[in-house]
Amino acid sequence: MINIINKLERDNPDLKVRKFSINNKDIYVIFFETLCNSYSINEFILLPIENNKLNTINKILTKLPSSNLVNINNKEDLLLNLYSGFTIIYIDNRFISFETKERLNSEISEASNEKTVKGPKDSFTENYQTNLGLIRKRIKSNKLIIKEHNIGTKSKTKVSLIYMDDIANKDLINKVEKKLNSISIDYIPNSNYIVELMEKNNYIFPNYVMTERPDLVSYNLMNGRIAILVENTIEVIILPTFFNDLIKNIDDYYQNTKNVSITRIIRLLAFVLSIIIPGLYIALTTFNPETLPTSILINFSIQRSGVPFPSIIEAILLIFTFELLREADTRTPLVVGTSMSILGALVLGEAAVSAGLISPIMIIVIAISSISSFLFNDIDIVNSIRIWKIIILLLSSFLGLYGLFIGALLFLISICSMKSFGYDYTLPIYPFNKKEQSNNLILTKKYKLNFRNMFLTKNTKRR
Amino acid sequence: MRKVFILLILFLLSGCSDYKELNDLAIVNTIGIDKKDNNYKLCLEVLNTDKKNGKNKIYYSTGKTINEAINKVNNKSSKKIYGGHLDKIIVSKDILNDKKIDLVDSFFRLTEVKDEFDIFLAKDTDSCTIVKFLSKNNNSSKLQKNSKENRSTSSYTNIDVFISNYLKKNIDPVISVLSIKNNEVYIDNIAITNKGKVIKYLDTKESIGYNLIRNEIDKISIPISYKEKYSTIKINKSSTKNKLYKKGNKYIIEININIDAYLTEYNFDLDLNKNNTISKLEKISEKEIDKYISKSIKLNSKSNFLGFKRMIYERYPNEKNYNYEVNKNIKINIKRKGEIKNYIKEKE
Repeated sequence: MINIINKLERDNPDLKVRKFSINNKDIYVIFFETLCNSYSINEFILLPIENNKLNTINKILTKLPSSNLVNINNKEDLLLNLYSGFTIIYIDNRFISFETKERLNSEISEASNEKTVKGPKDSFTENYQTNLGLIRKRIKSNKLIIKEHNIGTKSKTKVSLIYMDDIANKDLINKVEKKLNSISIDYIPNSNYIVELMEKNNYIFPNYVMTERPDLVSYNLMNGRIAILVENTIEVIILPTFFNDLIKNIDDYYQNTKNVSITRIIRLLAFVLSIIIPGLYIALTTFNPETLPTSILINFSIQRSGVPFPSIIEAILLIFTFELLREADTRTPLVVGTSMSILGALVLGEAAVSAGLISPIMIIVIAISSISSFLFNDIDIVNSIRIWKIIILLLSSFLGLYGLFIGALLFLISICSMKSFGYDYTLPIYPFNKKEQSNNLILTKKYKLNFRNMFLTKNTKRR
Repeated sequence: MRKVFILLILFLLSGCSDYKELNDLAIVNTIGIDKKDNNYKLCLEVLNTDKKNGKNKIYYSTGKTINEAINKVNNKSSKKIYGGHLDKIIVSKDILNDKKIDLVDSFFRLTEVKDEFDIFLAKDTDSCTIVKFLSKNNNSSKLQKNSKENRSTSSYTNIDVFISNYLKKNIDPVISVLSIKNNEVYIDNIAITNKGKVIKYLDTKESIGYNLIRNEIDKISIPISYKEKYSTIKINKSSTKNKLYKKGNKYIIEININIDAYLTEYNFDLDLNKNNTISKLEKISEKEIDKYISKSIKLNSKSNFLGFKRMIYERYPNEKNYNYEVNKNIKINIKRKGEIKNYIKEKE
């Protein structure tokens, strides 16, 4: 095994091998200086060995002050430990590893992507242990099960399946576990890789939730869902997810129940508006102007007079420009971003209209549609809304109101044919369940406090 | 890949079938139809969509048929003539005097035109003059809205209703009338037509009577008199229920009118604080309303504009004897006396 170390040393300049001679006996201390904390190596390994003249394996095993100490027998373990930030001591032809990890993570900070008004503000970090701790901190129960896997032939990323033993559906767990074991890939860059490797279907709408909020994960665990925690990522995956989870937000449960229903109705309206309104505008103005009241028609007509493009080109240009701005805004640093959004607003809002290139009403239509889509904080949802918006827009510009309704039907068909890990995506509207409606558009206080989702668990009573 | 291809086709073909841009449409608001030497003479009022507060344009055209005349306008206009938002047509007496009304066919055959526009008759002038006057004051659509709200002295005749009554047996369709007084367009009372011919122009009282019986009255003030002094009540809500039954050889038509009214002006010498004054007022009003209705019913014996014969025909289709008698029950309920408790008088 010492050959391996020598080979490693050639290829990795940050691998340090220190040799001691204590009473004519050689002791090797091997570690990666980039992964290990040099203070703890000095204090807890090198100093005691020097001071106490530890030169046999038994002395080291008994006298070294360390909480995490492992005997290593094979090559794989040796490498895994070395790469995980352990320090290896070679003595008497045996390897012993000590935990001396450097914390290479950002601190627990406020969730940056998912804002909350009244909820807890902490969020997951890149550290696997911290993330687990954040969940454990919230659910202090022996029923919280964490099943760990190492996925990634090269990266050996820790992926753990988290669920409540007495609540979660066992079939679902077995299914997910089976799929997890069948994953074969060299490296897991982010947690969404796990789901996308498990799912064969390629849906437009995401059938899972990625979140950075431990309170959301804990809440969903208690509702019978499964969480998948992946090392080195800040996003935890929650399975399965239904369509009506789009209009729900964890913040809903932190607020007065009566007012939540209105918020949810607004979210649903925003969703529908966002998808349909550009198509509807095109259909009504270019194919079916008889459906508009005369005064609105005159108003639209006056606004459009002098615009050189057909409406459909105008709409596509505007959507394109808007998407350009959005993409540029997410990629640029904050300082540049602000100045750019001012520029974008001016160019889009003022200059394009006064130049007569685009009618003001079209800007209003596209702006309403885009703003509505931003009610959903998951970027995957925003992007899937965008795809459907464009499909319906094109259909409407091709067939008018017929096209609009064909598009709406296609959307319904695609939503209804979706599955989320064996569950219908449209639950609880199809198949319809009366009891679950009390946590659909309208949230009732009784449901919020007393019941769990009955599709996910048989253990529905909360106390 | 297939999906992308479909989207590409959609994009390239967009606007191939029935596509029209809003700013390429000339939205026709009013069409006036006259007849001259066996030719139709049309004038189309097109709503201004170029600038705010601009004037509406009028196009004139003639043709053997109405559609030919409309198509000819396309040669003059820079935009495509679009009739989907047609608000009203104004016809002159000559058109209605035709045995067969051509415009019925012409407007009902067009798919673009909604059958929700109104038909007006131009009285004592040709319809194009009225269209001209309407567009001069730019109150074309305002007039329409007004007529819909104050339809008590006039009647708001949808083309659909007019034509269906025209085709029905035993009923003479009425038509609303526009005329010009003092250089302004004025919504006149109702005209009765029979087989396309104008039989009679009603006066205001008869028109109100017509609307009361047909249950189409809206808020209207009616003056009442007592000992040569005048007051006004305002009809707030009125519901009319007509009943028909056979009695011996005769049909009895019962007209039950229930009116909720407000007192809006009071000049009588009766003390309003007394108990029986209101009921007395109600009696006086009932008598006044009765006059309106009786006048209409009397007229109905000559021409069938109230549709009593139609009522009998619908119930007893095989009947040939249309002898009928009308019973009137009028009930007025004065609900509010207004802010002032009594009439205004000098202190003694």
